[in-house]
Formats: sequence, C-alpha cells, structure tokens
Amino acid sequence: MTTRQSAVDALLARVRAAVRAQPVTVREVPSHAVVRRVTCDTANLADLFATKAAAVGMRVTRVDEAGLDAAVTTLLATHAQADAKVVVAMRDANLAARASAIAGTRLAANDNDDLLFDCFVGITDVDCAIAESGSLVVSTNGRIRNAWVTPPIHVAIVRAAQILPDLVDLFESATDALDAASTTIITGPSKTADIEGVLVTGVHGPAAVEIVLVS
Amino acid sequence: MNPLIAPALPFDMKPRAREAVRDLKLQQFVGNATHLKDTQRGGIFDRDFGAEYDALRTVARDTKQYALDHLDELLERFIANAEKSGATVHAATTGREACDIALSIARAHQAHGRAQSCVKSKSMVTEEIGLLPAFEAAGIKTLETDLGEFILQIDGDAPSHIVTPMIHKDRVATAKSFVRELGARYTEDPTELTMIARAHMRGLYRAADIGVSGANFLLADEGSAVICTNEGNFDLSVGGPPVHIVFVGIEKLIRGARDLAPFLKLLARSGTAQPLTIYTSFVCGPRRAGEHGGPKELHFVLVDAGRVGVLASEKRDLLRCIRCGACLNACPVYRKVGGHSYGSMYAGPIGAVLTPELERAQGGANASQSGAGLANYPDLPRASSLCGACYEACPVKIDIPKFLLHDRTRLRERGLSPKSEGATLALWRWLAERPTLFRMAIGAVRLHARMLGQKDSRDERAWLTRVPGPGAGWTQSRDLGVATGESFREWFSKRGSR
Amino acid sequence: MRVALFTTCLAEALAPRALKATVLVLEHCGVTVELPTAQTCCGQPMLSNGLPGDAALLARRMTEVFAPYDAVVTPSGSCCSVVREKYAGLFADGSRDRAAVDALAAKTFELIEFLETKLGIDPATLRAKSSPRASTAPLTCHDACHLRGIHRHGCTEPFLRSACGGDVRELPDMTQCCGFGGMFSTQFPEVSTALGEEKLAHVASTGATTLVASDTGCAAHLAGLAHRKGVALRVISPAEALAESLGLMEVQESGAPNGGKHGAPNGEKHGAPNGGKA
Repeated sequence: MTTRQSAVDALLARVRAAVRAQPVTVREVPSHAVVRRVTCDTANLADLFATKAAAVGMRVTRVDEAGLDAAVTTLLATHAQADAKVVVAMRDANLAARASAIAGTRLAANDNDDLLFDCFVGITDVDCAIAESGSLVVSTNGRIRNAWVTPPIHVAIVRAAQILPDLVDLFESATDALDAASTTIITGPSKTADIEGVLVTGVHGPAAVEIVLVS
Repeated sequence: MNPLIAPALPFDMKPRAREAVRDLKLQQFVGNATHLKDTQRGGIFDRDFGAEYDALRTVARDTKQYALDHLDELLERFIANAEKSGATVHAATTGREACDIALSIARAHQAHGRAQSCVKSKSMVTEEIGLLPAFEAAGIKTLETDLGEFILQIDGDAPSHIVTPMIHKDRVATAKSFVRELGARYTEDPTELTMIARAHMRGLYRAADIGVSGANFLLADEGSAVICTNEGNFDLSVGGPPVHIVFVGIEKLIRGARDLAPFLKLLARSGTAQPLTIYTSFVCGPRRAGEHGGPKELHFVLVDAGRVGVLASEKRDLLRCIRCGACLNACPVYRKVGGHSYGSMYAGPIGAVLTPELERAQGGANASQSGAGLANYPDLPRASSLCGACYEACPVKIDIPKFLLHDRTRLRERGLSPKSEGATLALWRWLAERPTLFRMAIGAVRLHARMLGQKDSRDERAWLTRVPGPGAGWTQSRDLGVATGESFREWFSKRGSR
Repeated sequence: MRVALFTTCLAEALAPRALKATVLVLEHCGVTVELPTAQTCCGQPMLSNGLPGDAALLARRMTEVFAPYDAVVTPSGSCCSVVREKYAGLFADGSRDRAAVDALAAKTFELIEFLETKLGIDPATLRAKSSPRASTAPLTCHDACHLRGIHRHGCTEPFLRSACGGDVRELPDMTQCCGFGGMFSTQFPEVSTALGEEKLAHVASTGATTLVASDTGCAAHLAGLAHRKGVALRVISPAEALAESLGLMEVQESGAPNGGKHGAPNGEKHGAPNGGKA
C-alpha cells in the first residue's frame, strides 16, 4: 500500500470514529420543494430567461432560426476588429460549421493549448440554460475548455428549447452537462467589486456576454 | 505566515480592536461595505423567497447536517468516484502535511533545475494551512489570481473578510501598490486598476506549471468539486496549467449535485446578494482523451487540520458553515473591529467560534478536552454583544450565540476569565438567592448614587461618573444613571391593592 | 388570569419609572398586576458569562416565585428572552426542572408582546379608553436585540406609532446592536462605546428628542453615553412612552441634561384615568 493510500484510509477511519462520537440528528435529507422558484408551467420560459439574463448584465438578442447567422455576424462586427481572432467551441457540429464560416479567416487554429489567450471572441453553444437565474450552462462536452471564459467577449447561442425552468432542474434532469470534465454555470460577465465595492466587469473572464436566443 | 491572521499565541484581541475602532478609514470602509451587503442580502431574499426564506434555510441546515452525520459514507463514495474520474485523492491530517503533499506533486513535475510557477484561485483553506509561504520557500512563485487577494499579496497584507478579502483597503492604497510593485502608471480608477491587474496576470496564467484552488462543495455521487467565483479566475487557473491541485476541507462534502441547489441559491445571495455567483464551476477529473485544455493531472488534497475533531465534538454544527460571510456583514462587532482583530483567516462571529475549536482539535494531547483551544484565543468568545444578528443571517442556521456561551463557560472553568468578574457574579448570585439581602443591595447602590452621584436636573436620578471593580470599563466612556427617588416597591405597596 | 410583574433587578435599580409605567399600562388595559416580592434576578449575567450552574439555581428560583401565576410580564426584552429561550438549555430533557422552566417560558411575555398577542389589543384603540395627550416631543425607537430570539424584533415601533398617535420617527439602521451586550460593555468598552455612539448619531439624525429603548440595559448604556457627552436625550422604556401618551403619567421635562430646574417627578399623574380596570 502506498503512503498516499494509507493516509486516505487513516482519514476515513478517523472520520468514521468522529461521526459515531455524536448522535445522528438528521437521518434523511429533507424535501427540496421550497428551493424551486420556477416550474415548467411558467408561460414563457424564454421571456423569463431573457429578463433574468439581462438583469445580471448579459445582453440578449432574440432571433428566429433564419436570423441566427445575421445576428452572429452583427455581433462579431460590433465587438471584434477585422483581424481579431475568434474561437468557435460548439458541441453542435452544424452550428459550429455555420459559426466558423461567419468567422472566416479570423478563426483561430485549434492546435495549441494557449490559443485562447490570443482570441478576442469565443462563440459557443450551451448544454442548457436556466430561466430562473438567467444562467448559461456550458461544459467541455465537445467544446474547447474555457472558450467561454478566456476571450474578452463570449457569444453564446441558446435555443429556447434548451431552457430549463429552475436551477433544480439542472440537477434533476437527464442532461449530461455534469458528466463532463468541466462544466460552468455562467450568470453574468466576469466581475469584481474588490476595490471599494465598485463593480468592474471583465476582470479575468469576458467583459461582455452576448446571448443569441433562438426561438 | 502573516501575523495578521496567524498571530503569536496566546492572541490578545483587545489592542487590535482598540486600534481598529480609532482607525476612521477602516470604520468607514468596513462599516459601509458590511451595512450595504447586509441590507442587500435582506432585499434579495425578500424578493426571491419572501416568507419561504426560513424554510429554505431549514432545508439547507438539515441537508448539510445530514452530510456531516454521514460524512464517512460520503467520503468513501467521493474518493471512489473521484478516482474513477481519473483524479488522485490525498489526505492530510495537518496543514503541514497538506503543504508537503503539494510540494511533492510539484517536485514530480519539475524539469531539471527550472523554477516553477503557480496560479492560485481564492481559497480559505490554503490560507489556513499556509500554502503560499510553503510554496514560496520551495521556490515556487505563486500568484493569487483573485483581484482582492492579489492586491493583498503584493502588499504583504492579509485577508480580513471571507468573501471580500480587502474590505479594509481602499483604491488609493491599491493605486500606490500597483505603481510600486507592477510599475504601473498611477490611477485610482477601479476599472483601470482592474485592467492593469488583468493584463499582468494573463501572461502568468499562460506560463504557470501548477494551478491551485479550494472548493466550495465536494460532490460524493459525482466525485467532483464545485467552485464559485465572480471573476472567472478559477476556470483560468484550472484550464491552463498541466497540474491542478484542489485543497479542500472534508466538511465541504455533500451527497451530490442532487443536494446542491439549496446551497448555491443561498451562498451567493447571502454573501453578495447575487442570485448565483457569476461562475459556478464543476471540475470532474483531469482532461479526457481528445479534449482541448484542462489539467493532465487533477489532485484533491482532503484537509483535516482539526475538522475531524470538530466533527466528533458537540460543535459539529460549525462544520455546516458554507463561508458566505453573511454573519460578518451582519455583526456589529465585526463592523467596528474589522477582520484582523480576530487573529485568524476566519473573522467575525463564525471565526470567533471556529478558530478556537480548530485550534483545540489540532492540539495533540489536549485535543479531547473541550475548550482547550481557548487558552490561545481567550478574547474571542467575549468579543460579542450576543445580539443574535449572526444567527439570523446564517443560511445554514448555525446558532453562533449558543456556541459563544458554551465557550464562555469553558473559559470560566479553565480560569481564563477575569477573576474579579467571576467573584462579582458569584456574589450577585448568592444575594439573588436571598431576596431581603438582594433588595438591600439594590438599595445600597441607590444610596451610593444619591450620596456620590451627580443629581439630574430632570428627574430623580443621579449620575455616577466612576464605578469601581469590574464596572470600571463602563464609566470609561459612560455615566451610570441610577434612580434615587422612591423605589418601585415603595410606590407599589403605597398604592395598596387595587 | 393572575398576572405577575417580572421587574428585573436592573430595572429596580436603574429604571423604577419603567416598572411603574408597566403597571399603569397593564391596569389601563384591565389587568390586575401582582408583585411577587421574592423575585430577584433571572440569572442572565451568570448565563451569559460562563456560569450556567449559577444561572440554573436562579432559574429554578424563578419557576418557584412565579408558579402561582398564569402570566408573567416584564418590560425588559432581554430578561424575557432569557426565560423564553435560554432556560431550557440549563436542564436535561425530561427533568422536572426542565418541565418547570418550559412552563415558565410558555407564560412569560415582554410587555408590548403581552398586550398585542396575549390580550389581543389593537394599539389604535388603546387611546380611545383614555384622555390621551397630544404628544409633543418627537420620539424614535430602538429594539433590544434579544427580542430577535422571541421573534419580536422590530415590533415595538409600529405598536407605539399606532398607540401613541404622536410623532414617532423611524430610526435608521435600527437592527444594529446599540453595543450594550451586558458585560461586553465593560470587557470591550471601546467597541461598545463606538456602537453606542453610532446609535446616538442615528437617533440625532431623526431629530427625535426622546429615545424609546426596549431593554433597561440598552437604555442605561445609551443614556449614560448621552449624559457623558452632554447630549440632550431622554431615554425611556416602551411602557413609559405608552403611559405618557395615554395620559397615565406626566411627561418628564426634557432639556439639557445638566441645566434648568427640576422637572416633574416620577410617578403617577394625579387623577389619571384608570380606565377599564377589571
């Protein structure tokens, strides 16, 4: 047995003894019903999601399927200079091809670990989104890790059908989002208020999160 | 380690508290920030949970208590699942052991003779175990990436709040440090200062050999860790370097993602009045085959450092703490004395009970004696007006005042409380068992005031400007008004039965 | 219903007028008040300062002294919370003492709480039974932190606002502790004083010249601080505020703490209506 293994076993043994040293006060985890704020009965999850996402400082552009390419094109033109590098990190191969076509020559070559630091925009799809908090859920399932946090601009494409009512649903649904090596729930642009409580965005992650909501 | 949070023991809180009260800047920064956060916390819970807030806290309390009551099962499951995901799990009994584990991981990756560098995400447990000094001593250049922690690091300062570590500092101090340490041009604009730090750190992220972080939750079912940040620095710390080490106290375990929602909903609201932190990041094993980015090795260092002892004690409840900082923001004493007065990285009400308890549990032969840690922190249990604001603010309902009282009893038993005060209380109790004598004693106080006090022009009251014995602290800044006219009992009996 | 007044030792020594007012207000509400003369101290100082054994002795005394009564009423929010919240922890589950303190806890009330929840009095109708004075001096109200424990924190001001009908002003940051904290006030005098000064500054910002503080300790701390600083501020209990506004007590003269002639003495106003006495 390795030293590491024996230390782990010793910890387990001590924890076992410690647990038994006091009476068990809670034998069953209580119902979490009160935790849920939004149910699937909510009339328009897309509206709620858009409102909440805006409330935490993300920008939402609502389009139909036909308007998606144009919206992404506009956002790229708004945020990135013509030669600024773009990374596309999509699980949906079809969407990835469309976004790559839009990015054209600016598309970063996917060949080294720190390409992300050279990129100005990261375009991703999402595993799902959460209406209650206006959050995006992005994982490494089929995506380049951190494409949503390293470049200064994150463009996220969300389909209305991907919106879950509540955070609770992320943990209860059949989504494989949490099976990935890395999953991030994003609820706004990167921010800090460390200096005298003054809110500053873009401290490490993106200063702007642009959501293209496709219904 | 920084003496601000790891002072010489036994720790004397009073000089630091006195100094803090006189520091007008500190009063302003800490007072304003804590009041604001406390008010916002109330507001967001009213808005989002209304009358159900208390029920939500009860759910969180019981869910976390369940985890503690079954921590052995959960730990076993976590270890199995984390290893299944490809992570390596280590266990450390002491802070020193935890540092040594990290150092040996680092050494295993050291190319011949080359200096190593580390990017570190904010973590309380690494403060506790003194990881930074250990890394620096081993020549591993370590960067605190959380903006507040970074500013404290370059200033040789220490965090004074669990969530907002530089609550005691202002933009002017930051501006000066950036000129001095980074060669930046002088600016007091928080946005510009933030961008200077960002630019400085980007290159360091790219070059780092090791990433280090803490964790807010460990999920037994998934074998993964959950880390909450607003800046995104955890994601960058874990995404780039080839090795990542998560240091985590064993009390962070919960059953799994199925139990996570109440805590995530409470944590950010309680701490910073946000619905969720900007980034809630799950890390489950190292990068997988074919993946782009992420550490090739992921290590979990499970830290005891006294926690097992707390688990076994009557203070198990303290391990429910999710480090939201709400009790600090709500505490009138913290607002006045600031974090450094507590002589620990855990300041405020939770720190006042947790610090001596962790100290006790790490105390070797004395570890089993209740209250043994108090000899080194005798002021902490007394540094509270017992107002109960901390208990009211706590998202997992830790009854902090109850534990403060418990510790005051241990202090008294161990002879660590002022003797004169104990004698006064014993006399008071003795008199209180003898009603006639007790009334005479009250009469004597009133007589004393009538003879020696300064008469009030408005009513039948006299003001004492000096009180002897344990009461001397009172008249240091206050007079004592004593009613000298007809006593209540005289009045009541004179009126007769009505 | 036999109602006993729980005077508290601090009020007997420092604030007898608050006790007189409590009796007058209760009588105004039709309650006959009895005074168990053997009562002394509830044990809070011992309980809060590491002597639970001593506190338990006094807790047991309290159960005996108040055993004959159906309700126990006190003007002190803090002592009330000790009986209600803390006594149980002094004795083992299932013990006879535990049953006795539980029974005492169930019948012990802070004055305003008693009026509102036990007697079901609508504060707005209180004035109808008296010849209220038009209140002149603006007042503001600070609740004792220990009212949190009995879920009454923040309840005093709305009651007074409705009952007094006068100029009751909202105290900014009311929920922050005044810094008294029992022996905390002498162990950490600088911190205690700084908190008290902050409270007085908030009081001053309201323009109120009378502060109602719902615990004798908080009142003594804030009044003592104001007196030392030469600040003209009356600090009274909720019972006094009620008794004065209902015309049951003379209003004390307010003014500079050390100037002017003697104000009206403590005590009952002559010929005050003793309305509704049972």
